[in-house]
Amino acid sequence: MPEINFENAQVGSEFPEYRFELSGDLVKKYCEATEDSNPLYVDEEFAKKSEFGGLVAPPLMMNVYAHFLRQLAAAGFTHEYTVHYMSDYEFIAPARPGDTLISKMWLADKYTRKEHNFVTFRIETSNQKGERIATNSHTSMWSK
Amino acid sequence: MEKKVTFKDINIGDELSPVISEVTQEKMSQFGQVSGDVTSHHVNPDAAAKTIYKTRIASGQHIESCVSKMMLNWLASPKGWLSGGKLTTKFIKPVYAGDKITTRGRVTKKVASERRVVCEVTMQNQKGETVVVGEASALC
Repeated sequence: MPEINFENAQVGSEFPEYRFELSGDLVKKYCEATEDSNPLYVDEEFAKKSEFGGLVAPPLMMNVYAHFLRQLAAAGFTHEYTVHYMSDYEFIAPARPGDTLISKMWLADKYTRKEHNFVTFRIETSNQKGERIATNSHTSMWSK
Repeated sequence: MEKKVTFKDINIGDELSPVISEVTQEKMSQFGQVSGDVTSHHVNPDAAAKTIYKTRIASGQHIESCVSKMMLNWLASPKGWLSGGKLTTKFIKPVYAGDKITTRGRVTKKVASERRVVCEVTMQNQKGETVVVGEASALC
């Protein structure tokens, strides 16, 4: 597998469309890991009576179904470690268990500051109906 | 339980109820299982030893989740966050297993034309060190 690193990362490069089947089980596990017991995410009866009409996923679960490292791996790239630096999210509509989330990602920027190298990916996610779900710009510090 | 607020109830300078989270290696590993990041320096001690921190640090995406909890504890309608929320974060310091993170929010702006409220967000560890700064906004 080719390695992607700060030197060879090309600003503007696009990655293959990434699809993720979001299960209710994974939503529950995310809620356990983040200790978020909001009933909209885990209580089907409560969620049915809500303005959403059913269960939804936590908005920051975008970091699971559209994680930039998942997308790099799916595109066939290895990499050295990265450290999360900045994020910028917009939550447009909630993802729901059973959705297929389709993400498009491209490398939006790279720069060096105080001897550290930073790379920004831009990600846009829609569901299987073509409805926009969320966007994210994720900047991390790259070790290499 | 915190009183839930609507646009008219909110004033600039209002403080949201803080969310306190104790970060454990167990939770960091659980998050790694969910995110699919199981071999990384968040979970694997050998991988962590090769980083500038020399030990495992929490995933930034794991830590950010506290902001969403804080916003939904505060807002009367979850819709304005789940369908209209915006969040920016910047990590100042790493978060380690054993840290106790307090997430705070304070209203800095109300945009009447959009019915959007904007809050500055800070996250501090048990030593009072700021680990994350950011901004969260929601329609309400």
